[in-house]
Amino acid sequence: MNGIIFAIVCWVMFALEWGFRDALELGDVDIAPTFPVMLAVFVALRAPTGVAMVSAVVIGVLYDIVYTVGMTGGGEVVVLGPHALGCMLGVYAVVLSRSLMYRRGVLALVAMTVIAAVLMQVVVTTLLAVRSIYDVIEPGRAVAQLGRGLASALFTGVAAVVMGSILIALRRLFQFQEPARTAYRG
Amino acid sequence: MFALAPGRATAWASWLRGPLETVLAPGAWPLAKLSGALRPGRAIDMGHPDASELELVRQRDELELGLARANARIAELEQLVRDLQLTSTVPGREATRPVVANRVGQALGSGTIDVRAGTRDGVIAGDVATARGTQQLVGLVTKAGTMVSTVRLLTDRRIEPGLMQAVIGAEGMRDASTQQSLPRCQLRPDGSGRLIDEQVAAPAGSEVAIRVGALVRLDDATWPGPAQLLTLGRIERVDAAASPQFRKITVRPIVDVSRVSGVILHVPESRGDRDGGTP
Repeated sequence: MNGIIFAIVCWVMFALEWGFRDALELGDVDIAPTFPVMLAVFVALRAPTGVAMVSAVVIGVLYDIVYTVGMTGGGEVVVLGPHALGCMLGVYAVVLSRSLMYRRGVLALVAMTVIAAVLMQVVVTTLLAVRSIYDVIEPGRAVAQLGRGLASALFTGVAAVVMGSILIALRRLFQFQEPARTAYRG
Repeated sequence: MFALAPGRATAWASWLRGPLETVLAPGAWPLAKLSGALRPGRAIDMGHPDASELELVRQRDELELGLARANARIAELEQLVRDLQLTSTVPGREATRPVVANRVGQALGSGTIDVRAGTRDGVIAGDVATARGTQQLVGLVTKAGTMVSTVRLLTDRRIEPGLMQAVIGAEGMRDASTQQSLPRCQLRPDGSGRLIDEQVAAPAGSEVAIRVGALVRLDDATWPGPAQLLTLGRIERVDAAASPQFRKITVRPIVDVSRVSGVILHVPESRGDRDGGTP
């Protein structure tokens, strides 16, 4: 995979996440698509497992740094790990199931994006809720967070129809190492 | 390991945010501007006033704020005279300079927005943010990076100080004595973009001031000086409380603080332009 192209697209995804998210927010309930997950899933559907996992870690860590958590008594803190672990779990699920589907179409990307985003939100909510028991962070009520997260995951799938089509159109730039075709597969 | 490690062990991770914000800001800023254009924040319906009317409203608000502060200063000086007679002193209010900062991003789940101004502009944690063109308080800076600062919105429950002493009916601040006699309330964010006080003392005759549409201004010594007498919003609802002597009020900011396209950060003039250095 071309690392420079990945970095540029990653930058665009995080700029969208940071600057454009509220334009797509549903009402005032903080339900909006999670753009970087689409990139992680797109890479996971095409790249070798190792590359997919490394890119998941990169995207997850960047997401952890961008997404601050409120602290009891004011202030914000960066909690490294929840999104990185969640993204890795989501991407691993994609890697395990990608052979079962026609992964070059946008539908596979949409379905896998929803699954990966759901897994990521579950991991993030759980880890932050556990940590808030003994640490000064205040991530909000876990049930509400999880509800918003799952709704955002579904919304991410909807947004992946458009964003996924763009990513698929750009696939040649990524220079993925496609697995060699066997005689059987033609 | 980091995900569950206590905050003390992972505090260094917050330092990573500044460089990342610096890299992302050039891309996020035009997107945030586009986002603001596609989905502008709510404002109280003023009957679609034209630009000149809006300008007049802005000037009136500024003058009212100046008058309210002058009245507060008079009251403060009167108190100073009294205190000097008792050989004590009262700290004065520091002049500030405005720093215009565009919004570059948000983390509404965290109740914050990110704006493009930081320590290189003299911004530090605790500085006050207001909406452009109004005297609406937006929130307080909770973290200042080199180029980007995080502003905790006043409507977020996690803002500190969480309680806001305020005066109701602030349009009537014509002189210091009237200002002192205005009804007061103690607001807190309700988590839905509004501020509430469930027990506002409402003696007979106070309904003139405690009414829907009345302006509410912050007047709380626990908040920074530049935030004093800034607008918190207008009363949206007045409900009966458990006791007939009290009312429950709901205050809504006059602009949607979560969707402002930019803010004015009020930086003390005594602070320099860079990293809190000398001017």
